[in-house]
Amino acid sequence: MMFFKNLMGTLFGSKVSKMSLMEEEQVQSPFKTIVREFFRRKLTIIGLVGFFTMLLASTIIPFFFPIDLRDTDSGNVNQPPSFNMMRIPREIRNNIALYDAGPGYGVAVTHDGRVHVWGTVSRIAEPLLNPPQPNRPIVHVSAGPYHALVVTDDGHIYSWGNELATFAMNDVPPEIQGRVVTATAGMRITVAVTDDGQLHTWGGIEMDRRETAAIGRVPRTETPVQIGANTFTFAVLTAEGNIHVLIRTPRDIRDIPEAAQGRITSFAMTDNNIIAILDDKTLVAWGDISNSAIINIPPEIQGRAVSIDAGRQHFTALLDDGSVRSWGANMNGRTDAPDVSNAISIAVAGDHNYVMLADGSIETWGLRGFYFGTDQLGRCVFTRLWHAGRYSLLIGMVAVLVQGTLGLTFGGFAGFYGGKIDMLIMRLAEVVGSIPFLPLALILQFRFRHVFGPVGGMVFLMFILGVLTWPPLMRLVRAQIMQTRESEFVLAARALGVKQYKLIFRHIMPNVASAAIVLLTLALASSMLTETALSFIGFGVAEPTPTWGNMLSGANNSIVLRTQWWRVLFPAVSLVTVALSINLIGDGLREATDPRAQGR
Amino acid sequence: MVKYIFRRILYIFIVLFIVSFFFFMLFRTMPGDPVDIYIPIEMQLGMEPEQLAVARAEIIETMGLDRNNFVQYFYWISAMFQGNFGTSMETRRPVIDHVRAPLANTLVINILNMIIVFAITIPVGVYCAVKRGKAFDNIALVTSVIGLSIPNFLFGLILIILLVILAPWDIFPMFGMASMMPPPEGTLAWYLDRLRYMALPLMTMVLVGMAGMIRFTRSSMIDALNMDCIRTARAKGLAEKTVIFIHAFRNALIPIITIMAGFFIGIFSGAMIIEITFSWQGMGQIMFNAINQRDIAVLMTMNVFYAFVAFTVILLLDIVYVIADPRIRMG
Repeated sequence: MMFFKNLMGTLFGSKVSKMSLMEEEQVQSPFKTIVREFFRRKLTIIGLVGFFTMLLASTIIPFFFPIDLRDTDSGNVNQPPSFNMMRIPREIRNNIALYDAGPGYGVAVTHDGRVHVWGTVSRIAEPLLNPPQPNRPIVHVSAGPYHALVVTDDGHIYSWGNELATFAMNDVPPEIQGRVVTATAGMRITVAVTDDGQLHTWGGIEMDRRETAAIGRVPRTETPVQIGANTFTFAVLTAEGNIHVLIRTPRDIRDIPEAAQGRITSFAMTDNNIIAILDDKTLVAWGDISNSAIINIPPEIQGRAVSIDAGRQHFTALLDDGSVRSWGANMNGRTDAPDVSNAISIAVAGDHNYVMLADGSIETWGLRGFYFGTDQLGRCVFTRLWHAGRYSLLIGMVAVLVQGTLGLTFGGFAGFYGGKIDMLIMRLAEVVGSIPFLPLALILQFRFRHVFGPVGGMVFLMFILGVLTWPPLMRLVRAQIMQTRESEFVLAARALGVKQYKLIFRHIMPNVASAAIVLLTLALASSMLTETALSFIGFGVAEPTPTWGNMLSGANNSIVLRTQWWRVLFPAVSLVTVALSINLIGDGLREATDPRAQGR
Repeated sequence: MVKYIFRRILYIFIVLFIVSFFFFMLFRTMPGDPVDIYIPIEMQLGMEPEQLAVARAEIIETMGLDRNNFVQYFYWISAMFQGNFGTSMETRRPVIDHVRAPLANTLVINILNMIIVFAITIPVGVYCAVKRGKAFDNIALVTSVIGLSIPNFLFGLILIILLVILAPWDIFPMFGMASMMPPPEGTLAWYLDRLRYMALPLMTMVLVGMAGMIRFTRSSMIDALNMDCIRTARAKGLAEKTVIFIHAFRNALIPIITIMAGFFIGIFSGAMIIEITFSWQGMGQIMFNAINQRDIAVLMTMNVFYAFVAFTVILLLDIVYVIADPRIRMG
C-alpha cells in the first residue's frame, strides 16, 4: 500500500510524508485532491462499478463456462433464451410412465395416457409443444430434433412437430398404421418397424430417400429391435445382435468391429460415434477415434452396463447396480451424473440427461437452457458473450498499451529534444494521421491476417489499432512537455543541477501523466468500439473466436432483427455498458486531474 | 506567405510519393497471381492451355509484370500523372468512371450530414456552455457520453429497429439505394425516393456526429468564456448577448473550424461502416468491395486521393488560421 502511494505520489508530483494530524488537516497533497475529486462525482462511481463488474464477469465467468470454439450444434440453432429445457411440469413429476428426451425439450406420457411436452425449441419446430392426445394406451415414445412421435398399443403412430412440407416427417404411410411395433424420430426422417419385421422410412429430403434405397437394407433373416438416429443417418440393431448403418455418412461410424457383430444387445449413437453394449455387458466404441473423451470408456463400468443412450457429444450408461455414469467432454455439466443407486431407465438428448428412479421420480442433469439463447450455429450466446468480453477487453487494452507506448515515446522525444527530431516525428504523425483509418486498417487486415494465423491475427489487430492511432497522444505529450520545459520550476531544477533523467521523471513526467492517462482511458473505449466495428464488417477478429463485434456481425438483417433479438441485444448491451463506463471514468479523471476543466 | 505555401505543396507531393509507394508495395506483395485479376478464373477455365499461356504472356508483357517492383511503381506513377488511374476489375471501367457516382453519393450525404450536425450542435453546445451546470447542460452531457459509447453501426441497427421494425408506418426502407423501379430521374418523385433511402444512413451519421460535436463545441465555448477579454467585455458593460456571440463565440470558432476539417477528412473513413450497414452505395461500400475483390487500381487511386484531400485540407486550415488569428505566424 505504501509502495502504491509512493508510486502514485511520484506520478502525480507529490511526496507522501508523515505529517501530524493538524498539518494534514490543512495541507492536502495534490494526489489526495485528485482522488477526492474523482470519487466525488456520482457518474464516475457508476462508471467504475460498471467497468469492474463487466471486467470481473468477463474474467471469471469463462472459467465456469468453458468453451469449445469449434463446437456447433445444428439441433439448437437460433433458440430463444430459455431456462426450462428440463423442467418437467410439476403436476406430472411422480406420474410418468414413458418419457424421452429431445434436444431442448422432453416428452412424457403419464400413467393415465396423457402426453406432455416441456422445454424450448427453435421456431421451425414450434408445433412440437402441442402434442396430440391419442385415445389408446401409449407403448413407445421417441423425441427427435424437429419432431416427436408416440406409438399406441394398437400399432398406430402419432407424429407431430416441424410441419414443413419439404420434409414431410409427419406423413405416416397409411398402410402401416395399426402394425407398428416401434419407431424413431430422426433428424429429418422417421423410421418404423412393423409387426412383420419390416423397416419403413418416410420424410427426409430426396437425398435421404435415395441413399436409403441404395444401401439401406437389413437382411430378411434378421428382425429389427432397436433404431438409433443422428443428424446424418440411422442405424438398426437386429435381434441377431448385428448393427446396420442405413444411410451413407461422411463419418466413419460404419466401420463396425467384426468381433462385436452378433453379440450386440443395445447401442447408442452420436453424430461421430457409436457405443454398443455386448452380451457380457461390456461396451465397445467405434467411429471418430480422435474424440478420446468418448472413445476412452471409463474402465470401471465395463461388464456392468445395462442400457446406454447418447447426447450430442456424450454418452450416459445405466449400470446393473442402478447407478448412472456419463462420459465425454463436459460442456454445460452434461457429464455430471448424480449419485443414484436405484435408477431404472435413462433418456439422453442434446446436452440433457434424464434418469428415472425406482420410485417413479425423475432426476436431471446437463443443459437446463440457453440463458441468452443461441446463435445461427447453435452456439450458446451466454457463454460466448463472456469469452467475447475477455477478447474485446484484451484487444482494447493491448491496443491502448501500444498506442500509449508509441505516443509517450514519440511525444517525449519530440517535446524534449525539439529541432530535427521534433520535425521528423511531426511529419510522421501527419502521414499516419492523414490516411483514413478504416480503409487502411481493412487493407492491412486483408493483407496480413491470414499470414499470422488466428492468435497472431488478433495480435496484429491490436497493433493496427495502436499503431494507427498514436498521433493525438503524441501531440498532447509534446505540447505538455514543451510547456513544462519552459516553466520556471524546471529552470530552477536545472539550475540546481538536477540530473537529466531525474528532471524528466520527477519534474516533467508527472505534469504530462495526468493528461495522458485521461486521453488513454478514452482511447480504451474508442479502440474497443473500433475493434467492434471492424469485426462487425468481418475484418476484425475472425470466427470462431468470439468478440462482441463479430457476435453482432450478420445482425444487419431483417430476419435477425425481427425474430432473433437475443443475438443483438446481449452483445450490444455489454459493449455499450463497457464503453460507457470507460467514458464516464475518463470524464471523471479529466475533471479530477485538470483543475481548469472543472465543470467542462 | 507564397513561399510558405509553395513549400507546403512540395511537401504534400513528397508525402504522396511515400504513401503511394507504401501502398504499391503492400499490394504488390499480396499473395496470388496478378494475372488472375486481368483474366477471371472462370474465363481461364474455358481456355485451352496454350491459349491461356499466350494470353498470360501477353498480359505480363503489356503490364510489365515481369519487371522490378520499383520500375513498375515508376510506370504506375507516370500513368497517374497522365490522368490514367487504371481500370476497375469489378466493372471493367476506368477507375474515374467507376467511382464517380458513389463519390457523389458520399459527398451529398456527408455534406448534408455536416450541415445538419453543425446546425444542431453549435447552438446546443453554446447554450450548454452558457448555462453550464444547469439541468439542460447535464442532460446534454450525459446523453452525449452515451452517444459516444455506442458504435456507429449499432446506432444504425437501433434506428432500424425503432423506425422500420417497431414503427407502425412503412416509410423507411431498411437497406439499399433506390426503389426497384425508381421514378424517372430528375422528377420530384425521384428525389423523394432517393431521400427516403438516404434517411436512415443520414440519421445515423447525424446522431453519431452530434454526440462528439456537442461536447466539443461546449468545451471550446467554455474555454472562450473563461478568457480575460470576456471579463473585460463584461466589465465594459456590454450586453450579455454581445459578449457571448461576438466576443466569446468568435474565439471558440478556431477549434470548431479545426474539428470541421477533421470531420471532412473523416468523411471517407467514418461513413464506411454506416454505408455497409445500410448497403448504401457510397465510397465506403466501394472501398469495401474493392478490398474484398482485390480491385487494386481502385484501392491505389482512392487511398492516394484520400491522403491528397487530407493534406490539402490541413494546408487550407493552416492558411485559414493565419487569416483568422494574427497571433499565429508562419512556421
